[in-house]
Amino acid sequence: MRRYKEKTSELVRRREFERAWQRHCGFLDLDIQGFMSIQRRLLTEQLELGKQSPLWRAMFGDVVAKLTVDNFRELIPLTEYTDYEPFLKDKPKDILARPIKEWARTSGLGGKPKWIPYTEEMYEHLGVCTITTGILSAARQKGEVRIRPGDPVGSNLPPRPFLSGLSLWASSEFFDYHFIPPLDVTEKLGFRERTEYLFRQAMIDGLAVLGAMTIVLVRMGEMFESGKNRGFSKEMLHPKALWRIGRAIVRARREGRRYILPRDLWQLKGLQCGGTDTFIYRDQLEYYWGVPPLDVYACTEVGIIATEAWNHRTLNFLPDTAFYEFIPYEDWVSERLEGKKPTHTVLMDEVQPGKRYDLVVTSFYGGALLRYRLHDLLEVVALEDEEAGIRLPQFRFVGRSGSFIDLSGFAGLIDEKLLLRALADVGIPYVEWTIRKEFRQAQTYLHLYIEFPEGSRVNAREFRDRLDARLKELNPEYSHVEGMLGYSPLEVTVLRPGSFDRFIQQRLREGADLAHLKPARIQASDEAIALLLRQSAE
Amino acid sequence: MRIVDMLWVAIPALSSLLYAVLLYNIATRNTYLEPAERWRVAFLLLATLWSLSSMLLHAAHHVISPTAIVRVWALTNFGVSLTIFGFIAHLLARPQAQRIATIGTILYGFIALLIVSGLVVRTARFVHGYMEIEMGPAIIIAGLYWVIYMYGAGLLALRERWRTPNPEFRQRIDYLLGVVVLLITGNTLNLTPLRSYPIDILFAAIAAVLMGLSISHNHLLAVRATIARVLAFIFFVLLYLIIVSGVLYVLATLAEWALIFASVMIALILSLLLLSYAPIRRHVEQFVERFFLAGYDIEPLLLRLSRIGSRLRPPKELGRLMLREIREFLNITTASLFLKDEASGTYRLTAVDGPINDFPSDVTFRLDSPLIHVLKSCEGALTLEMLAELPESSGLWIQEWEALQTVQAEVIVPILAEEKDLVGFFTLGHREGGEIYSLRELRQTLPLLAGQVAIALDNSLLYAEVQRKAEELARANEELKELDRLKTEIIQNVSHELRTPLTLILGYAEMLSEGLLTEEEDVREAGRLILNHVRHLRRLVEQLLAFQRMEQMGFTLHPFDVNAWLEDVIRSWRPTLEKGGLTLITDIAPDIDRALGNESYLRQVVDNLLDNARKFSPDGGRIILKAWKVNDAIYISVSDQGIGVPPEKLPRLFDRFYQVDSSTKRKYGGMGIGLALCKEIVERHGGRIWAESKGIGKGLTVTFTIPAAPNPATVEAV
Repeated sequence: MRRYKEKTSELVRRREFERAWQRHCGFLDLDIQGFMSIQRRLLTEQLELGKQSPLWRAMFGDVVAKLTVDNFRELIPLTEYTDYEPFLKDKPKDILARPIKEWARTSGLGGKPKWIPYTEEMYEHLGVCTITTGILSAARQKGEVRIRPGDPVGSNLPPRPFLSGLSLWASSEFFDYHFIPPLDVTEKLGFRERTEYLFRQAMIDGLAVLGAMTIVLVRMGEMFESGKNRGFSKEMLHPKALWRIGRAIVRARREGRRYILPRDLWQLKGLQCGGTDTFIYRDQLEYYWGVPPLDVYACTEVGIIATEAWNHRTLNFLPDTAFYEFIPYEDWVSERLEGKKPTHTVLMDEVQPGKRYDLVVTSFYGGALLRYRLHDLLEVVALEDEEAGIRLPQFRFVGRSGSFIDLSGFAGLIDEKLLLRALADVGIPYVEWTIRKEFRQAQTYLHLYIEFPEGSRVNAREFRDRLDARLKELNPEYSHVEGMLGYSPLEVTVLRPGSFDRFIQQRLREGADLAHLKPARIQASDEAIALLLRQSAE
Repeated sequence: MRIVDMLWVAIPALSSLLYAVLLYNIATRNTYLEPAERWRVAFLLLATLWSLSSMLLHAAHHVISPTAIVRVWALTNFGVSLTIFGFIAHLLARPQAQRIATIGTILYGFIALLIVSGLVVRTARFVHGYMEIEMGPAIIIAGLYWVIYMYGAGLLALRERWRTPNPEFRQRIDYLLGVVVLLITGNTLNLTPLRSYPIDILFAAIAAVLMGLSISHNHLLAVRATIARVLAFIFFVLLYLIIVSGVLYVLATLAEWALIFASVMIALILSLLLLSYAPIRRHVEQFVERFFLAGYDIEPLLLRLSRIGSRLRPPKELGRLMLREIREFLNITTASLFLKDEASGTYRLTAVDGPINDFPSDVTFRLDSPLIHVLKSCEGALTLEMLAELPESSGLWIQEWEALQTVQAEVIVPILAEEKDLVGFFTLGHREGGEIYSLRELRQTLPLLAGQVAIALDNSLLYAEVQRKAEELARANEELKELDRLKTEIIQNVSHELRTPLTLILGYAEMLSEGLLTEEEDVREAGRLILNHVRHLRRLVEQLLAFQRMEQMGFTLHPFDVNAWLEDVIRSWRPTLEKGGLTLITDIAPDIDRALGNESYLRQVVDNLLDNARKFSPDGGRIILKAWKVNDAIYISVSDQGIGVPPEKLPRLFDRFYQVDSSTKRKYGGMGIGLALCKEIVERHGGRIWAESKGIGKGLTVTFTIPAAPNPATVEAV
């Protein structure tokens, strides 16, 4: 059942911008009561649909028939994908109360894929939200809709059945973007081919909105800045490409630069980056690409959960993606340190500023998940964004639970963001890294495996000390660990140049999943570390 | 300097100033120019050059070579046609047209070469104050280029206008058509003697303003209405001028032209004053409305709705009639009406008109639905798209959207009573011709109709309420009458039942007290009879009080052995029945074991049934006591071959104080409490009781059920 008969691109074509804005970004005008009203209402519907859901009946039994908005948190425990896996792994057709439109895939832990069904309504909602992020990425003030039908939109993110691909297909039902590469072509290309196709074609067609991995965009910017690696392709002979290059040179010269940057070639309206390291490279991305990136928080399980507004500051949750519950940080810590399963959750109207929470979601629109733990930590920055006039709690993504290392009675001591920041502050360029907790002779260590670029002369000891000092400055709790342990837990192993690349090649030969080509940055497995060390030894 | 020469300086200068202001506005407002804006910028730049070259041509042709100026003029003029085409192609987001514009850009370079090389304009010079231009052989190519792009722009806009059902978007396209018409007209006039005047420059300036309006503003002035108002204004002025001119013509020999000019000015001012006079202005606006704006006159529909509403009808019938009128008048496929139903706490589908296959009777919206909340606070009607776009509507359920689709709703119109009370709403389907509802209809016409419907519904609902209350009153009245009759009957029955034994008791007591009975046997007999009748009286009173006792004290249910219990019943009744010449036949199923109940109360039930069977059976008749088990219930029935009960009286058999034969001359006594007591007891066990009889003289079977005991020791307090 479709809510919208008319595409948003038609509204924009008719210059009905107010309607387009309200359709996609109207939720930003809600107050918390309005937000919760929508949440409760959709949850009521979801619980009713759940009574007819073969999945829920099989998983939860007769209790499903008794669920109400007021009692479901008491009657249903928190769930994980392992609870759903036996029922979803074969992608059965009639497992839900509503017809299933698509199956989305994500890489679970241990390399096994997680399959999540999307009902028609969930799929439509995903499309709507994708346009929402497109509008917000290009907006410079409230109500501004700058995207236009025919705008070239570039993406090198994974295609269907991954969420990034699914969302583009869903969005095409609402907006007539000109996708580069075209959506059907994307599905036949590998990552490198996609990236090459994207930027070559963009020389001719231009780029209005770009969605890509943060690190790819940063590396591209660095490449432009260095003036190296200016590959030639036949697309550059196209008159439009030549015009673009000429114009870029003029722009660069006007700013006193000898090198051109991506922003000279393309005047982006919006930029959306994927990756937990976006916050590190925000300024760099804006410098290279001309616009600040829009941070979007999404997951395969329910779709797009939150997005920054036009001011690119903090995350705003969408009220109609899923029902949100928040596990207080203290309970999360207890679970990690003492193994005590959390039982208590709070709702959106109960969160407090300055506090962190672990997110729990229940699908809407007949989806599969009930009280599903995402294991993502978020922090409430404020209960409102006064500057933007948004009266909803403002969030910041802290990290995935699995991305934290606990040490010596401190939960969440080290995480990817902290390492990224510390490494950036140390200022020594690196290629890639991974860190994990290791035990030797009854002692615990934080072992960092890092690769520096070819030709780097980095003193490992000095690097370790600088990093250790910086970590202590950034995280006061980390600074107490040495005192408690009686030794400094940080160890650094410098890998030979090319180790990570060889690791990836080996994984490709083994047919590994896209998300498992590189070792996890935090707590990589023994097998991955062993392989990495072998590649370093070669 | 001639006035014409002044015009040739003033108008281009002012136009150039206008273009400069527009360009400045664009530059300061946008850091990113969308393609349509870029074409507009190109137009403004070329139009500026066009104005300046025109000005130079007339003001400075003796200083600068006219040929050079004319070539610049030609360059800009041909370029303008391309920019208009490009602007429209990008504004309407038509990729094919955009490609044609891109090709045009390349071709323009070629045309520019032709112009610069003198193949389009050979020479230009002023001869006796008039411009003479010698065209080159390539003028046809250049002209063709101009025609293709200028007329192409017009066709593009016309096609879009033809295709779009959206009236607001058509308005925007009207502006674009205005641009094209102005530029074509201006350039065409250059081929006539009117080329002496800077009409094309003036028209280009107006076109620039219209271009800006078409791209900038969301809610545009209705072009037709504006033109109509201007025409209406001119009409009055013209009328006055004709009259004044006529008079002055007669006096032409005496009047000076300056006086005529002054009269014109006075006429203009007077017209303005007249139009500021409300009644005249109203007439002008109505004239404009009737002929230019409104696609239809709503008044006849309002009148018909008012007539329908004036007759009191039930809401469903009223709704259907009104919907039909609206539907037929506005050429709509379907219409439906939802009204508030306080009893169910919903807005219920009450009436439908149109070819919906099945009338979906269970389509409702709860009072807490976001749709209801939105309708209470919205101004005017909503399309489904507008509803979907409101953030609150995110909370609408799938079934609610499907409900709207079931009734094929395109537009929802709230029906509001006083103080924003949402009486209901009606939905309208799509138009037969595919045209969509205009903003004017959503904001004015439909709410107007809804107001009329609200008034009619108000009366209808009041009427329905009155009808309902009258029916309730009539029912209550009937019940009261029945109760009154019953009361009389009860009093008759009870008094009869009590009087008979009391009379006997009194008689025997009097005899005893007066010593009329001397024989011991007679005294004992009298005592026995008095005792029997007193016991009978006590039984009657206990029956009367039994209901109250059950209410106050309740009773507990516990498992008991049904077989043993039935054996006891049979054992105590068989001698009594056989003494009365009746045969007791029993049929107890072997799988009966335990039931959940109160044995002594259930004993009352069985005793009562057997007593009735005995009472109403003929001599030598048979009474059958059966018991069997079905699933979780135990069935017990008592059948006789007695007088039976007419089928129409069976449903009331278990009513309190009901007697099949309630006359005082009836053959069989009783107050009519026994079976009512049985029913009360059985229902308190969670069972049911019913009677079957084929009619008078054909016996009666009364059956009741009690729950089988599922497992040991479940005690439930009732």
